[in-house]
Parts: sequence; C-alpha cells; structure tokens
Amino acid sequence: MSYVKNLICNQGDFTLDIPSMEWPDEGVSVLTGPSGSGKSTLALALCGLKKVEKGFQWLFKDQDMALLSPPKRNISFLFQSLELFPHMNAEKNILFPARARRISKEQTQERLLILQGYLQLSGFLKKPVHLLSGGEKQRVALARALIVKPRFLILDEPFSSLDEKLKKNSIQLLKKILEWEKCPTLLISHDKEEIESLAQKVFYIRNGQLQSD
Amino acid sequence: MKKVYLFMVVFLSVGFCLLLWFFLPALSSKKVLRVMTYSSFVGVFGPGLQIQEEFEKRCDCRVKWIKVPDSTLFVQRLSLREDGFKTDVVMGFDQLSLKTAKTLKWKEVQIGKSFFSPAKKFLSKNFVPYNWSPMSFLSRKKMEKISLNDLLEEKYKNNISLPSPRTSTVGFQLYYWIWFVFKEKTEMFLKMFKNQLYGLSPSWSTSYALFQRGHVDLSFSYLSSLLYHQEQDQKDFYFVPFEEGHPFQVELAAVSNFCTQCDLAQSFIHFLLTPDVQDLLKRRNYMFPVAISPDTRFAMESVPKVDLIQYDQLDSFLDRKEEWLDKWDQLMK
Amino acid sequence: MGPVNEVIVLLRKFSIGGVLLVALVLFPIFVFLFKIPLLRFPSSFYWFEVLLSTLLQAGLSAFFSVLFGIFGALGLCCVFPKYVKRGGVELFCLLPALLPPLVPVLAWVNVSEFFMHFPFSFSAVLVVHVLMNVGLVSVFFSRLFCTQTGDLSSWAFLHGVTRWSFLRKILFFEMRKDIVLIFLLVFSFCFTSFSIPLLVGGASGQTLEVFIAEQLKNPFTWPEAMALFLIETIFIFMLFSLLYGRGEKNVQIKDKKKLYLLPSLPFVVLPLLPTLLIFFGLADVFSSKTIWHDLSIIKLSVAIAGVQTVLMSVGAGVFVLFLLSAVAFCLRDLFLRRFLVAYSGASAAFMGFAFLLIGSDGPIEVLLKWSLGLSFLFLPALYRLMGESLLRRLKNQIQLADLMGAGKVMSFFKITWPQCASTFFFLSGIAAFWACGDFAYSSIVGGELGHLAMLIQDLFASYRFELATVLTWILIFIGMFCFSLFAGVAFVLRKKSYL
Repeated sequence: MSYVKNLICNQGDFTLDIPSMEWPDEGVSVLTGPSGSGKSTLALALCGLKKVEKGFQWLFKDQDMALLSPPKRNISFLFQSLELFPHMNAEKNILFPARARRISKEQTQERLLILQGYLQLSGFLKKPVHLLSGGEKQRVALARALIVKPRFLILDEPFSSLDEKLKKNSIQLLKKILEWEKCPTLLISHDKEEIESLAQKVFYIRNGQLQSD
Repeated sequence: MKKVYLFMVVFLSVGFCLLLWFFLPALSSKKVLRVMTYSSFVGVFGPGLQIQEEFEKRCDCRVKWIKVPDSTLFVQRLSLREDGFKTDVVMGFDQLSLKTAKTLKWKEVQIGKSFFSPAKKFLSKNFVPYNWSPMSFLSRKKMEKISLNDLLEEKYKNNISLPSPRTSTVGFQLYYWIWFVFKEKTEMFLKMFKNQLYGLSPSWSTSYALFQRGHVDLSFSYLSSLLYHQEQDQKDFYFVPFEEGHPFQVELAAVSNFCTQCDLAQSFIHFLLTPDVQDLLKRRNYMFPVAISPDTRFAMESVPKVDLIQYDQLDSFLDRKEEWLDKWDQLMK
Repeated sequence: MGPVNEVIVLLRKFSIGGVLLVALVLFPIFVFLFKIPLLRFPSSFYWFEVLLSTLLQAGLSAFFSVLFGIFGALGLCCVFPKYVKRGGVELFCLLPALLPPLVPVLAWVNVSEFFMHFPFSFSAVLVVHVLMNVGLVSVFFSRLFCTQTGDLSSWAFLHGVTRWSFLRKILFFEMRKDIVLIFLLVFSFCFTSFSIPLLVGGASGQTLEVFIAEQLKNPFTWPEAMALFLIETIFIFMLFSLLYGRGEKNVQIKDKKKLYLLPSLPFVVLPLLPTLLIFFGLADVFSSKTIWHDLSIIKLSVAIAGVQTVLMSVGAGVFVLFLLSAVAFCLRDLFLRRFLVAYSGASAAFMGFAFLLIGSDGPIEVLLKWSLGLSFLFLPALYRLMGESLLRRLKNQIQLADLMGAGKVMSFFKITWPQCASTFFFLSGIAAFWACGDFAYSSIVGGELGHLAMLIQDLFASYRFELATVLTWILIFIGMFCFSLFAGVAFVLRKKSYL
C-alpha cells in the first residue's frame, strides 16, 4: 500500500487538507468529486508540482517519496489537455521521456513495440501531432506516460474530450495495458462508467478534504 | 536550413572584413589628439573632416573626434569619468554655456592674435573664440527694420518657428534677447508672443526646417545662414533687422585639463585661427571668422553691419536660468 | 536557518542564472547608483506637473489607440482572407510602429500642412502616438476577432442583434481582458516615449523621460534625474504588477470561422491611413532637382554609414535573440518573469550614459555598445509584446518535461526553443528595425562612428533637409532589410516545424 500523510496545500482561498490517504500498490484507484474540489491539485501535489506544507509524507515500499525531487519520483502524469509537444511527431513525443531519462535505445525500441501493439499506434507514429485525431492523441499521450515504466501513473480526466464509442474503446485499452503493466494508477474522473469499469478503490473529495475511502 | 546557415556565415565573414577595414587605422602608433565637439561639426557637410585632414598633415598625428549630440552636453560628458575621456580640446562652447564650463578646470591658452570686437569680449586665458554670427529672424521677403513688438501683429500669427530655449542654445539666445529688451515686461510680451508661434521645436535644425519648407514665414536663426542660401543660389531669404539690436553667438574652444597631448591641443587651437581655417569655417560651418589677419579680404566684407546687444547682464540672467525656463514653460502651455 | 542560507535557498529557487539575467537588465541603474550615491527630488514641483501631464498623455494616447484600433480591426476582418493575404497587409499596418520615430513625424508634419496646422504641443504627441499605434492595435484585435469570436458573432447574428449592440453589450465585455492588456502595452510605450515628445512636444508636451534627459545634461542635477527615473520605473512596475495578470487569459486558438456582424469595410481606412500618410509625406522630396547631385557627393559617407547601420541593427537583433533565449532558459520562475514584464526599462539617456561610463570608446567597443545597449532598451517592450504569453503557454509542457526527468538544458533545446524560436527571431527582427533608426541612445554613446540616423541628424543641422529626407528612405529600406533577415529565418523555422 501507499500511505500519504499530512498533505496540505494552500492555494490562496482554497486549501487541500489530506491528513491521511491509502491506496493499493496495484490496480486503479479513482479520485472523484465535484469541480473545484481539489482533485487536480492533489494529483499535482503528489507529483511535486505544487508546493505543500512541511510534514508531508508519502511512503511507498519503505521509501518516502516526499523527500525525492519530482523527476526522481518517476511518476507519469497525463494532463487533461494531454500536453503533447506540438512541434514533434507522435513517435518523438512517445520517446521523449526515455531520452530524458537516458534509457538505452534498444530497451526503448523494445518497449515501443509492445506499446504499439497494445495501443494500436501503427499507422500514425510519424504523423505530426496536429494531424492526429482526438483518440490518436490520447493513445500517444498514454504511450508517452508508459514508455519509461513509471512508479505511479496519474491520469487527470483522460477521457473527458472523447465521444461515447471512443471512450468505451479507450477504457478497454487502458484496462488491458494496466493489467499488463501492473503500475499503480490514480485516475481522476467523475464519469460513472469509468469508475465502474476501472476502479478498485474510490476516493471522494470535496472542498479539499477526503470524504470517504 | 543549411542555406540559411551558409548565408549567415558569409554575411558574418563580410561584416568582419569590413570591420577590419574600418578599424585598422586605430592600430597606428601616431600621437592622437582627442577633440570633443558637437556631431554636426564633423558631419559630412561640416568643416571638421577637412580641418582634421589639414591638421594631421601638419602635426603628423591623428585627430580623433569625440562627438556629442549637442554642445550643452560637453560639461556633463567631461564630468562622467575621472579621466574626462582623455579629451584634449573642447570646441563648440558658446557664451551662454561658459558659466557652466567654468565649473571645470581648463588649461591656459596663449593667443597672440587680434579679434573682432564681438568675439574679443569673450576671449579669456582659457577660452578662445573661433567663429561667430549675429542672430535674428530670417524671412522669405525683404523687410524694413522692425521691433520685437511688431512680431505681435496679426500677420505673424502661427507664422513663427522657434527652437525651445530648454533644449536649444539658439532658443535660449532668443530668450536672453527678449529678456534683455523687455526686462520686467518679459512675461507680458511672452504671453502675447505665444500666439504667434507655429510651434516650439526641440532643436534649431527642426525649427529651421519648418521655415525652409515653407510652413512658416519667420524663423529665428543665424545671419550667417544666408551664406548657405547664397551658396545654393537661393535668393529669397532675408535677415530681418531689429531696432533693439541683435543677439549674437560666439563659438569658443578650450584646452581641457584632462589633456594628454596638451601641446598639440594648443597648436590645434592656433590652427583654428589661421586664415585658411577661418575661411573654411565660413564656407562649411556657415559662421563668420573672428581673427583679424593680414589677409582681410573675407573678414571685413563678409560681415553685414548690424547693431548688437550687450551681454554684460548675462550672468544675472543665467543665475536664475531654471526659474526663467520654468516660467517659459508655464507661459507657453 | 541563517540569513546567508536563506539567501542561497532563494537564489536556488530563482536560479542563479535568472538572478544574474535580471541584474543584467537592471545594469544601468546599478551603474548610476554607483556613480550617484545620493538621490534628490528637484526643488520645484515642476516635475510633478510633468508627471501628471505624462500620465494624461499616455492614458489618452492608449485610449484613442485602442478605440480606433478596435474599429480598424473591424475593417481588417472584412478584407482578410477574402481579398488579400494577411501577411503583407499586416506589415503595412504595422509599419508606423516599426519605423524609427523620426520618419513618421517628418512625414506627418509635411502632410498635415495641407489640411491643418500641425500642433507642436501636447496634442502633437497625442496625435503621433495614436497614429503610430492604431495599426498595431488593429492587427492585434483583427486576429483576435477572426479566431475567437466566430461562434459568438454567429449566435448574435441569428438572434437579430445589431452590430453596435453586439460591440457594446457583448464583445467589449468578452474582450475586456484583452483590451486591458493592449491598453497597458500602449500606455507603457507612450509613458516612456522619448523621441516623439522630444521632436514634437514643445513646452506643453514634455514628458518625464525628456525631463529626466534634461536633468542628466547637468552633472549637478544627476541625483534628481536618478530620483525621477526610479519614480517612473516604480510606477510602471506597480501598474503592470497590479493589472497585467488580470489582463491575461488562457487563449485557446479556435478554428477560424465566418464572422458575422463585425466586418465593416469603411473602417479599414483607420489602420491603413497612417502608413499611407508616411509614404505620401516623404515622397515630395524627390521633386527636387539638386537632390541626386547632392547625394552623389556624399555617397561614400552614406555607404559607410549604411554598413555601420546594418552592423549595429543586426547586432542589436542578435543580442535581443540571445536575451530572449536567456529569459526562456533562466527565468523559469513566474515571479522573475513578472518582474521583466513590469519593468519599464531604462530610458535612452540613462542607457547611453551608463554605457559611456564603462569600457573605452574605440570603434569596435562603440559598435558593441550600440548593439548591446539597444537590445537592453528594446527587450522589456518586446518581451511584453509577445514573449511572456508565449512562455506561459508552454508552462505545462515544461512542467511535464521536468517530471519526465528532462534537465533544464534538454527542456530548453527540445521543448522551449523549437516552439519559441520563430517568435524570438521575429521579435529580433523588430529590434533590428527599431535599432537602425535610433539616434537618441547611439549619439550619446558616440565615438568616432556614425550610422545613418546620426548622419540624417547632422544633415538637418547643416541645412540639408531634403537630403536628410532622402536618406530617410534609405534608412527605411535598410531597416526592412535587417528585419527581413530575421523574419526570413522565423518564416523558415515556422515552416520546418510542425507548428
């Protein structure tokens, strides 16, 4: 299990206050709640991209992740807006994290081949990002998140901009790949179908505080 | 992209070669005389470059000009650094800036020449005049003698261009002239005079440009401006004579206390007073000569006979300079 | 934690590179503070009147520029993309803002003589500022209207809303943040304007910048000049700090859609007229018979001055490119970037004297000082124009790259630079264009060299006004050449990237 303690993040007129939080080391945990409740803030705070008060602890396999810098935490984050690099093609986007972490080319190519199979990326790897469809962009973003075998995966409403059919397909793809990857995942969503399909544990947040486990 | 890089490499190489070509003279081992003056003096049509050429032949040295946007900045420039930019000679002071200039130290200059009387008044052991000119309004048509009060007539409304006395020594000369004539009634005159102005330009050159291009009928300038128009065969420019007498500008040179080539600096100032250079100043600087020499053919003929005002009260006017300028700004709004 | 450790933590947070860069930008202030240990306010309250007058002038200039600019944008929306290609027409409208101030002022004085008495006063400064900025504002809003208001205008059209109701009750509220932003940009330009009030301000149009320059002429009034400069800087700083953030909004570029209600052809005259007046105002000089003869006499001087102008302008452009890249690399912290946005920049007089105080005045040093000083002068305005909004858009991508383990260098060369290079080159081109017409700063730095704008000033002072005007045309062409060097690279980079 992962244990989070004393996660307090001040955002001016809003404070995220999580005294404790536990989630499993495998599978998908879902964080849900109304808009403005602090879901994205919590996710960014876990990544180290938001300033948190002293006393924050995050224990994962006997290591306090709170003491590590954001890059060293090896967390992959999928923004709602995907944030693909528009000046690169799909393949370069996917390979970027591997280059950043200096993973060898052979390992990276091997991993890319596997992800290509799972996420059906063939046919548009060389396409520039602005020519990709919504579903294709989403799969590229997911592949980019998984290319470096992250310790954690955080997905911030990844299916919000997709139509029903595409969403169903994407959920199935994600389920399959997470079963293979076995990477603990925190999914931020308020879609009932996503929660029912993917969640092993659900957290409900409201006004910056967890309501129930 | 490769073509772009190639183009940039070629361009930079050409630029570098040009830089070398321009700046090789700087590597010579001759003595360097540093002369500070206003930039138009050394401009393409100014006398500076020819003076430089002639002096360099005589002295076997190099003359380096320190160009300053205008003469009001000389003292400020010299005060900026402890070495005063190693300036040897400063040329371009006028009698209005002498008070400020005297806040710094200057070397003595021994001059054994005779000068015309307007310039002679400002000759001192440190400051040497090298050219001068009476000043007045210039007009497009020949006019009889008038007074300053006549400028308030309806026909001159919005028809006079002036440089601002705050930013131009020529404008400040006019202000002194008005004060000299009207004294306590200066404010009253200016309140009415304001309506006659087309506008206040920041410099003499833009003010005179408006006149030259026909935007206005009168502009305050030098009598010696007519020398330029005569040279260009432009006949319809006239000096307007005034009953009250006319102000005049004397330009002076001095040897700076920061000089490293002090002897050369003395020689340079003497050189400015030679007949050839005095003639050159008339032809290229469009100002009249100051030195009386055996060869007087141009000296006596070239200066029209006009009455001149006195500058004996100049110091008392300059003591309250800021106050007068503030008053001017208030009245001209 | 001791104070020294706290400073080190703060430095690390802001990055030492960022702090050094900000210190570099503030360098004239440090030079003067070293030279002038005391500050002093002028004894009379005239400076306060000048400050109020400057505020009024800048406010009115910005107000009318924005007002006419918005209406001008309605005209531009009409012609794009139906009748003409966007790029050429936009450049035509932007020309008054790009040209050195001397050029449009000369031209408008000549042209205005046909129908009005040109007011060398407060009104003149107002008129010139509005004429220079209306094209820029029109281009800005026309792009905004074409990309942001398609759906809104369609809805209004379907519901029978009239154009003026749509403008008054919907569009001005929808675009209020953009209006505030552009108002601030034009206001800061007009508030810190130096050349224009110097040329046409007369007594009533004097601004704080001109007053400070006058105080700098006399060594005894340097403390006053420094005090006034700090007041001016702090005022602009506070204004931008309070309002700039509120003017920003996250703009998602939507597809261009057909615009209803807004396009209105008659208004196209507003952004086009200032440029037409410039060409018309400068054209009559070619009727002179002696002009070509005079030009042939000075052709060598013109050629040398032209080369120096190109070197200086390209140098300024290169330094601006370097500084913008340094900002993108070093100033990752929003706090320091906000400082750069809010900092008005040193005036030409201050920058000139600061550079005079350092180094020697050999020809190569002077050329370098010209280029470097001009790049410092232009950096705040250019960064405010396009730089900050560009870097803000990349914030998430850079955060993501950090999270992925990319170092600063990799982040910069792989993420930031490819997406910013084109814009930075374009801004450098603008800097090069502005640089070629500078006479205020470069004549202070002086030295033996003399570029084309200084030659033009000298010609004015030697009665050769027509020749000076002809050289102004040469200056415009050199400026456009230098601009196109950088803009060409920007164009190629944009084509090469997927953006």
